[in-house]
Amino acid sequence: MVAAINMEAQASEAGPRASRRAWLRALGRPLTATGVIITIFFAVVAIIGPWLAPYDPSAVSDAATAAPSAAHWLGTTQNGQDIFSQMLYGARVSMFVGVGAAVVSTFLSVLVGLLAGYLGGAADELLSLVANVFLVLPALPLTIILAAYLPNSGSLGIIFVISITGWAWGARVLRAQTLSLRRRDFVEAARATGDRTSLIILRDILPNQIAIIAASFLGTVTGAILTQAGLAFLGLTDVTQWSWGTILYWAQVSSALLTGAWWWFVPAGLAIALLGTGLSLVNFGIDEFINPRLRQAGIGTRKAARGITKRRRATRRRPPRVSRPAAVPFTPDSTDVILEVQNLKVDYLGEYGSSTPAVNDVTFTLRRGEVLGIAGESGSGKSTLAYAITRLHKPPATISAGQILYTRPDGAKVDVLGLNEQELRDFRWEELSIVFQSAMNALNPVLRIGEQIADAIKAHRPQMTEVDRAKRVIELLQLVGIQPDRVRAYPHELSGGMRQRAMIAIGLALDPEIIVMDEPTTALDVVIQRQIVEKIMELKDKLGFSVIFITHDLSLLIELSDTIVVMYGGRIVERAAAQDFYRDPRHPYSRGLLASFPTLSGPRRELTGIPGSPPNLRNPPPGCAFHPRCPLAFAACSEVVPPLYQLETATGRTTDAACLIYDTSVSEGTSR
Amino acid sequence: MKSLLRRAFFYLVTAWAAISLNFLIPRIMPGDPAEHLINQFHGRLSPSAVTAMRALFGQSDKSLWQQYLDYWHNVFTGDFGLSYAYYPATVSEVLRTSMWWTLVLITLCTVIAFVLGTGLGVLAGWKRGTWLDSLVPVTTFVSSIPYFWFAIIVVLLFAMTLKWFPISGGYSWDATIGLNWPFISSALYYAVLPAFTIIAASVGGWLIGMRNMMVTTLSEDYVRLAEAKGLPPRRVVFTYAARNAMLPSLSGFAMSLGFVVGGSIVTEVVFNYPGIGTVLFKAAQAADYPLMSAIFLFITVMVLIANLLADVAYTFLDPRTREA
Amino acid sequence: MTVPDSVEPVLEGVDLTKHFAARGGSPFRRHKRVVHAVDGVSLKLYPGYITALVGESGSGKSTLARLLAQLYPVTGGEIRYRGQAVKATRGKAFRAYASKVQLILQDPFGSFNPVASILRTLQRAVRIHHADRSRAHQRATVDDLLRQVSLVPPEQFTEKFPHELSGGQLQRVSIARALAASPDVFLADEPVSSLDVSIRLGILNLLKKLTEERDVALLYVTHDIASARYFAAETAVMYAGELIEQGPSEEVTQHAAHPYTQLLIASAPDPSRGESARVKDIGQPPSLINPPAGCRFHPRCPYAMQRCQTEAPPRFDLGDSHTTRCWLYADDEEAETRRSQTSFTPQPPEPQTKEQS
Repeated sequence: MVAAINMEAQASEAGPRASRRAWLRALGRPLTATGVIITIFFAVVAIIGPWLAPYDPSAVSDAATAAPSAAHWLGTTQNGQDIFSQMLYGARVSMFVGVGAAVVSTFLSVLVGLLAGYLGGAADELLSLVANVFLVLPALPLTIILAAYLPNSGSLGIIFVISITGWAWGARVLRAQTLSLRRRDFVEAARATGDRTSLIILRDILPNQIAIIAASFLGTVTGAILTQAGLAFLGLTDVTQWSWGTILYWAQVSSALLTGAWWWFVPAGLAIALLGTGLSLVNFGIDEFINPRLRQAGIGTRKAARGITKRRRATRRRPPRVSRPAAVPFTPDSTDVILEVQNLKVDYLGEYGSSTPAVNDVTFTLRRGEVLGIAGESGSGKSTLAYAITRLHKPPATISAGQILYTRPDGAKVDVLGLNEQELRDFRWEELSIVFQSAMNALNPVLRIGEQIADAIKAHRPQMTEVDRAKRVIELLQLVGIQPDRVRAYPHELSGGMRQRAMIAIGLALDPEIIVMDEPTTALDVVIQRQIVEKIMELKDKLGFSVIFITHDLSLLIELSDTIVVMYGGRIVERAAAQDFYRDPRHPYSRGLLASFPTLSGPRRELTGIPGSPPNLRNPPPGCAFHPRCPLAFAACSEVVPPLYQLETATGRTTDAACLIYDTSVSEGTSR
Repeated sequence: MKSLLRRAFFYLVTAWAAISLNFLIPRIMPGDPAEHLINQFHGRLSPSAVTAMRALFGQSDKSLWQQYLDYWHNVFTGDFGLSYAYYPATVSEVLRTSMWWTLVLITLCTVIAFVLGTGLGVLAGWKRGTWLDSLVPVTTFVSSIPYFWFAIIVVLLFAMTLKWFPISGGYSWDATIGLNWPFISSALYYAVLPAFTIIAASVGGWLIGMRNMMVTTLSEDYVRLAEAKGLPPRRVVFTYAARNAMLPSLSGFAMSLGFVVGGSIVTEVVFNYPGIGTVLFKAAQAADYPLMSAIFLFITVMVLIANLLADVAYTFLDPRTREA
Repeated sequence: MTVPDSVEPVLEGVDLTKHFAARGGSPFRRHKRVVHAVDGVSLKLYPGYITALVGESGSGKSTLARLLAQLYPVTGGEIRYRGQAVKATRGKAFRAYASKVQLILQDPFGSFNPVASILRTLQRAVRIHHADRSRAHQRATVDDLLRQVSLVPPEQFTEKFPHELSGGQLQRVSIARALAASPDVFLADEPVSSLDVSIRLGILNLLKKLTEERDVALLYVTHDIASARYFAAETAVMYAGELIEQGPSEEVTQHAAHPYTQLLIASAPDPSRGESARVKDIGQPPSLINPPAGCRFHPRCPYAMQRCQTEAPPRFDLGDSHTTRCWLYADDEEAETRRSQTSFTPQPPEPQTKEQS
């Protein structure tokens, strides 16, 4: 039952992409399939059981308290009644009560939940209060009392009693779900289109709650069968009507336990437990369907773990810290490489051994003090790349090829992919830190800001005193422009911009050499974005770290980067100095992208944009991934994956572009 | 603090609802339970007891409102009348002797099951994708077993076959109830099997709930950041993942607790444990309505207090609820 | 691209105000706190022209769009459709209003019922607004709608479910759904901000084409002032629930008058601008529960004067239908001196005298 609670927390996650195929996939999982088979088996038995029964379940015979035999498969009772027949008849009553109670209480749940959630206001307050009161009242004692007042109540009475106490939970979950659905855009869109409220509830809200209603229904069936068995066992139902509970009642009353007649009480309990398990398994399937994170929990974990351990180890253990030489401003001609990424490939492992490359054959270098901007649209692999560099990618993502080399300030090279867990922990944050996209999600909601900075310091500098650490935390906060008195604030008490500053303070905690920033300002408004970006650049000049800045906002990137890397479909399509890139983008995709941004200053220029939409990585186009959208594409583009061609620029530097128009051997007379 | 006050207010409303429900149920139930009950005693009841019985079912000259006020007066003075199952003992006396058994047993079992289940859930969530995943179907099966049936099997195995523990009761017949070692040790000895049953049957629910929340929480960005910061795994698991994953479990405490309490009551019956569950069973058998409703009230109040404690813990763990 | 004087507005918001009850207030307190989401905003939408409504998150721009769609009842002010005041937040009146004024939402992935096919979604919209047509005719209308938003051939899209389409395609379906009503006014709430940069242009061009071809008015709500320059004839800027500057887009973006508009423009990333000095600003938008007295921007404003703290500025006319609510444009000496410190470069016709709105 506790498992069911979590659904409430996750109810709002039932995403729009939940597809019909996901249903089938959920069904195909062995545990869910087992659950479905068990449930169907018992349902069939409940329907046809009485016709299968070899004896009248109440008929007494001479074979008293007989152990299981060919004549009586499950033995007999004290009065010689056939237990197998009682089980078959009992299945019907138990299932009838279970399903009946579930139908009635689910109906009540849906009614109350939908009304409360959709109507809102006073109606919601009242209905929620009633539901919450019923939720807190201990159900079984109340049920016992109600049952006791209905002496010898038949199945209908029991259904009534169970429903009264069983509807509240479902109502609460459905109310929360309705509330979240009501706020969803498609309900607002339906309203704006002019649809009737009743139609909206029926067509937009209800169908999207089917999974949760089903889960609540199955949960109530289990609960009702257990409750009915409990009541019957206590003799609070009609004890002459055969159900699994009444079998146990008679076994208990006749001291079957003391006489060692195990066959009398074992089958009924097992049947209840088995049916309960079956229903719960089906529910887990629904749970996984609703919450995709659960579904992915196991996939590729082992394979990915193996991939890491197989790599060779080539690093010294915890090398001494070397202080960094004084910050030297970056020049475009610098050759002081700090990070080299070579032919990196990251695959997403699918459920049936399939794999989708998200990052493919990516090579670039980062020099000391440089700001490297990585631009790309959704699905270009830029975020996957950020995580792979820091080795923070999670299964099912796995690095399947390539190398990442880090050069320490003293010149020693570190093979990042070869580090073991402990070495990796030392490497990360000490040498390289990362600032995540959404500060709201990346800060622990239950920990003070100060603590979240301090614990990184503590983990890497265990010898530092508490006083020094506290001083350092304050210093870091001031560095990023947060008032020192906010050190005891929780993330939710800060504004979006302040949270992102706190994230940067965490990133700076150990004065790293490289900071990877994954869309650090995407969720912020332009004015706040400007504040944050200026802060980052100011700190970079002061502290001399290198930055890998990832964003979809090419204009921003050109302003702040020294070098720009453009990604498309998991590959690098262009790599150039920022100013060269802005003046003369070489790849057709880069050109299209630059011509998609409206400008504020200067005369209005023509915006051309790019036709079509980004490629589907599961099923990428052959050859150059951009060719279906490319105005310059020719036949060879759909056959050959273009390598990066080195091109001269007007400033005398070089630009790399992966486009066949630069290959003199294949591009016949195409304009550049 | 404000949110806690609001919760406390809600529990007061719930308590009021429970007490009023208790007052109403006998008055709206079909048939004539009073007559039925009086007949059962075959004239052994004193005339005053008969009047009290009729009053209980609303058969009185007083107005419904006056009856309601009287009822509240009785609730506050702890006067629930005579018990018919334990005649001539009063309901309060019966409650007073049995409540401690249940309180101690259930409190201990709930705490142990919660800690154990949550702890195992944290582990199973953290080590997802390993053999620990097989805990899920196993615990699902165990938590689908009716408590009382599990109790029967436990008795069969450990008391009857292996004879490690006593079959039933709450303490050895030669011990005198009180704060003396022979009694306490014997009570502990007798409590092992019931406690084991309740813990084993309820631990699975906590485990699965916690595992699923852990899996969900572990893919949160803040956990990823904690790992990236190079924090020791223990801090990542407990301070970052588990502390956040636990919140839904705590807020769902109410429902789970009601479930555990219900299961424990039936378990007590199997072990003939001298607690409230067994008393409730006997009261239900004898149609002892005053005793039943008093027990219901008692359990409700206890559950409400436990919920309030869970809310305090929640407020302590989640700073977001601390302000209004 | 400016709107000629001869064109009459089709939809007009006059002095619109919306206050929401603040959450988390004590239920025991009589005096409820309110969020001043929109305060005294007047806006006109002209047929055949795009009006951009620019602002940061929380500025009230989305609320204003929903007020104009009559999805929320207004707290104050009125909405005029073709000069007539209309109040139609529910029932038949609302449906009639919705057939004239259609809302397009920001998140294409969220604005479709995940369990309904594209055909069903569109058919529903068609059925509401063309109930008199036959089934076959309605079905043909759906195909026609898809063609109008360049989703061809329509058969390729009708049987699909929302998750099977890309964001750009879904946003086109969104527009098709709005077209089903053959409305006079589109209210597009950030229609492209959740799309990839390379496909935004296509959607904006489609909207522009529809606006011009069908002679409908379009309110383009956005946080991206640069796109307003390119796509809208008129641009209005909102800050903290108030409309602070308004005028022809080129005028507003090239000769921004209000210090906030100037800040917004200076903050927007724009490599074409080069290394010009930027406005240093450390502030953030105010709480809308207790907005600052006087001008709501004054705590952040580098040019704030004494009166900015106490008196809300009236609307000043800067000529060419360019107006702003800022004391810097008052006709007195102090304001003039201050004004010379800003980056505001007036157009040849000097700011005219103050005109009370």
